[in-house]
Amino acid sequence: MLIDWFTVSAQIINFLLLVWLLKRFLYRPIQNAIDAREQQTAKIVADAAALKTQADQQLQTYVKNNQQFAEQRTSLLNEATEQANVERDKLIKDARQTTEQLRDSRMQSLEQELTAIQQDIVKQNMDEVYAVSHQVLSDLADEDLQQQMFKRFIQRLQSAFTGDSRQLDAIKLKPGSAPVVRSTFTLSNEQQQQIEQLLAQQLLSPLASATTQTAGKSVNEKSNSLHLDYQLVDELLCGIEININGWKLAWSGNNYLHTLQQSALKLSAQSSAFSATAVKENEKDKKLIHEQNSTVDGETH
Amino acid sequence: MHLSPDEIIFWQYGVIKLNATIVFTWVLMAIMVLGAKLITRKLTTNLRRSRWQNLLEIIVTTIEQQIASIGLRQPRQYMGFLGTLFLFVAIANLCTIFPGYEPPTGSLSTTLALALCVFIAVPLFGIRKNGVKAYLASYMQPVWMMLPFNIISELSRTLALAVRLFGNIMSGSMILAILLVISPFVFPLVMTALGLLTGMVQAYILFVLAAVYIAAATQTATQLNTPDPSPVTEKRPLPKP
Repeated sequence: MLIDWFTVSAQIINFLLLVWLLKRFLYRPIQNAIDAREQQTAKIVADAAALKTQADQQLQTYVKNNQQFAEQRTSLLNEATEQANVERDKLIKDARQTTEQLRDSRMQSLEQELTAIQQDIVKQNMDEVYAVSHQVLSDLADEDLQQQMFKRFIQRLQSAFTGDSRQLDAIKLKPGSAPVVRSTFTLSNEQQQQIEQLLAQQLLSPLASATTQTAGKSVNEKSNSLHLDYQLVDELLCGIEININGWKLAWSGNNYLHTLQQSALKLSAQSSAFSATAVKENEKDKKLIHEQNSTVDGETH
Repeated sequence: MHLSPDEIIFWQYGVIKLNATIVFTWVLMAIMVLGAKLITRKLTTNLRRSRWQNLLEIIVTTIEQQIASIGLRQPRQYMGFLGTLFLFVAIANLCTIFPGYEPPTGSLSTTLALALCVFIAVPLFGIRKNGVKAYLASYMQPVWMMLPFNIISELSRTLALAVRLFGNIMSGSMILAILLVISPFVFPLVMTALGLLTGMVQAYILFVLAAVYIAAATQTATQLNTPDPSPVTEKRPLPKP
C-alpha cells in the first residue's frame, strides 16, 4: 500500500506547521520590509515630484522674468535709439545752422571785404584821378588861366553880394580879424585893389557907424579901404579863395576836383550798398530753397 | 530499491513511526525556517540590502505576482498557503541532487497530504470570501444538474494532484536509480538535471493548479458569468499539467 495514513496525517500537520512558520519568519518580515521600502520610495518619488513641480514653477518664473527682461531691454533700446535719433537730428540741425551762420558771416565778411576793397580801389582811382588832374591843372596853370580865374572869382563874389542878401547878412567883419585871400599865384596890385574895392563897397557901408566906436582895428576908416591878408597856397590849383570871418568863397580847380571826388565816393558807396543788398537777397533765396529741400528730405525719409 | 520513502522506517511504535518521508520533511522544514529566520534577522528597509534579502524578496514578490496574475486580487491572503506549497515542493525536488536524499514528494502520502490540504483549503477560502451559501451554490453552476459532476470534479482533481506529483517525482527517482545501475557517470547526470527541471515544473504546476482552484472558488456566481472588468495583472494562459 503506497498510502500510509499516519504519514499523510503527519505530512498534513507538517505542512500546516510549515505554513505558519514561513508566514511568521519569511513572508511577513519580507513583506513588511518591502512595504517600508516602497513607502520610502513613494516618499522619495513624492519629494522628487514636489521638487520637480517647484523646479517647473521656478523655471516658469525664470522664463517669465526673462521675457520681461527682454521686453524691457527692447523697450529701452528702442527708447535709446529714438532719443539718439532725435539727438542726432538736433545735432545735425544745429551743425547745419552753425554752418549756415558761419557761411553767412563769412559771406558777409567777404562781401564787406570786397566792398572795402572796391571802395579802396575806387578811392585810389579817384585819388589817382585827382592827383593826375591836380598835376595836369598845376602844369597848365599860368598867368592867363590865373587871370581868367580871377575874373570868374570876382563875378562870383559880386553875385554872392548882390544875388543873395542872406549871404551878405552872414558876412560880418570882426574887429582885429582881416579877411584872408589865398591864391596860387601872387595877385597883382590891380587885382588886390579890385578885391578891396569890391569888399569895401559891400561891407564897409554898413560898418561905417560901428567903426567910429572902435579904434585900432584893421579897417581903415579914413582911406575907406580894407586890409586883406594875402597868402600863396599851392593846393588851390590856380584858384582864389577868400575867407571872411568864417564865410568862405572859393573858386579853384582844387575845389572842382574835391567836389568830383566826393561825388564819386558817394556813388561808389551807393553801388556797394546796392550790391550788398543784392547779395543778401540772393542768400535769402538760397536759404529758402535749402529749407524747402530739407523739409522734402525729412518727409521722404 | 523503494518505491516510496515511506518504506524507509527509522523508528516505529505501533502505528506511530518515523519514516524517511517525515524525517526529510522535518529536515526541509528546519532548513527553510532556519534559513528564513537567519536571513530575515537583519532585514533593512533602505535601498542597500544583502544579497540573501534580495533573493528572498525576489522569491516572495515573484510568487505574489504569479498569484495575482492567476486572478486572485489580494495575493497576500493566499501567500502563506500557496507560497509554502510551491517552496516546499520546489525545495524538496531540488534537494534530489544530494546523495542519499529521498524527496518527500516522492511519497504518495506526502502528495496526498498536500492534495488534501488543497482540497480543504479551496472551500475554506471560497467560504471566507463569498460565504457558505454562495460557495455551495457554485456547485450548481451553471445548472443544478451539474452538482454531482462538480463534486466528482473536486474529488478527481484532488486525486489528480496527488498522483501527478507523486508519479513524476517517483518516476524520476526510479529512472535515475535504474540508469545508475546500467549506465553510470554521464547519463545519470543528465537525467538528474532533467529531474531538477521536472521537479521545478511539477512544483509550479501544483502551485498554479491550487491557485486556480482557489481563484475559481473565491469568484461569485455573478463573477463567473461576467468577465472581470479590471484584472489586477495580465492573465497568462494556464500551463497544461
